[in-house]
Amino acid sequence: MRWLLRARPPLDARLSRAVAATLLAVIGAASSGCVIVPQSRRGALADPTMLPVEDSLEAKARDKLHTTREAASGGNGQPAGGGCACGN
Amino acid sequence: MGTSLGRLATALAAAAWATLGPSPASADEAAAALAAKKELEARIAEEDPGWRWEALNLQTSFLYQEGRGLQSQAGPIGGRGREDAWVLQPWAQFRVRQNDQVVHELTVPVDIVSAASTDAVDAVSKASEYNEAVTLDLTSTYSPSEVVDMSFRFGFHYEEPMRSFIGGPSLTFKLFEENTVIGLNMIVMSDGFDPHNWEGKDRGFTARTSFGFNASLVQVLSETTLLDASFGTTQQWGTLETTWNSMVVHREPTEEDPRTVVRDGERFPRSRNRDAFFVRLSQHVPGSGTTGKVGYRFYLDENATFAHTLEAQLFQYIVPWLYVRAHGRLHTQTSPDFWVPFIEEGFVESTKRTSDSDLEAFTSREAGLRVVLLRERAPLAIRGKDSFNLEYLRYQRDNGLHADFGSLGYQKTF
Repeated sequence: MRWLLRARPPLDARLSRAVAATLLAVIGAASSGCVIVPQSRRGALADPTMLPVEDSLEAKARDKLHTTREAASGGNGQPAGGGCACGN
Repeated sequence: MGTSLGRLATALAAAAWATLGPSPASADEAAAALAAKKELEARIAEEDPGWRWEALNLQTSFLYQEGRGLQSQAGPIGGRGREDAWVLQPWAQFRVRQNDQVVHELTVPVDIVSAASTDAVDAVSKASEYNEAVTLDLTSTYSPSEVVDMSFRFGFHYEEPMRSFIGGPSLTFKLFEENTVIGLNMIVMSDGFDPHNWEGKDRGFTARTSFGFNASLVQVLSETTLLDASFGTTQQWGTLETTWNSMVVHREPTEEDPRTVVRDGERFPRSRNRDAFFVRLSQHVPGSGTTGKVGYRFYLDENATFAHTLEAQLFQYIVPWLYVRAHGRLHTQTSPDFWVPFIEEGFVESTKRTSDSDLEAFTSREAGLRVVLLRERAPLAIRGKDSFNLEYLRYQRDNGLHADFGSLGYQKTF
């Protein structure tokens, strides 16, 4: 979070604020339409294809493919970098 | 069943009275309450089957890559290194239930890597062209109520020339009849490794520590729509560079040394903060057996690296027990402010620098296909409590790297 306190180039700062505001707006708009769906009517949501993590091993393997080849790991419950000397 | 529940409720009430109620008026009442409490404990012990297997997940993956991005030392000594590599990943995951409230999940990923960049010893000795890594990763979860899960994760990672510990707690809250699930976790990872330099010299021992905090949300939006989002921040300290990575140094040739290019190591800041945000919308269409997911991820760090990742997945049931998933991913990133393609001779040693092509500004594209067979839903003749999956994906970067990934998986519930 230290980047929030630091002076950054104007374009970066504007981009950060714009992205953060857009994401918050999307989540806010989506959450405002929430209804409580009783468990008896959540059959479709229980389908294997709707799980946030469809297969945890497959998700870890794909995640590793990306984190060892790109500079943008983290944000998925794991610390970004470290652990395999190649997390960039 | 009703009688059994009634007796259990009576015993429970008596036990609660014995534990929380006022002092019994007589010795008989005290004895009766104690007997009821013992009966309740006996019934609980009798009905809890104890330790048992709950799930097994096996996956074997194979990856082959060619092109830049690999700073392998497994080629000719002093050369640029091989620019192809393969990775074999036999992974396993076991879930064991201790009782109704406690479950343990052990993940064991094993990686066997050819021409690994971490195998810097090869730069001078070629003692090994392969690098093996194994991790033991255990997460134990205690569920004291239907609303809260408390977990603790502990893991150990070993690979030549490195050892890592990972650990941290997490909390999950399931609110509004599980329409909203909020997760919070903290995790610490500590790496200790031999800092081989690009010439293969071992300079002793060094370490780095990563501390991460993550928050996640899963929100039911309708009977067929789901939103999930997560945010993670990581602070790192210590030796962050890959000590065996080298970069080109341009120099003026002299009579004694006619070389125009020599090499030197990269250097990173001693600390770094990284943040990432992810949001995804999932929609199921029951009539056609179709599910669509669209996700976006934003990343930035204090070295001015920005990244945007867009991912879409489409699931389609062919029959009720077999579905196909197609996915596409587009990723674009800027380079950190200390990335340079080369440096000039006479540079100041403390200058932050890297030429690692994984950190260069680039765009990557990925497309893949996955087939999943759910035997639980299959016709009676082949029905079982397991599933199989097969996957292939192609990953391509516009700075000269491509990879092919294939996997075969098996999952079983007990």
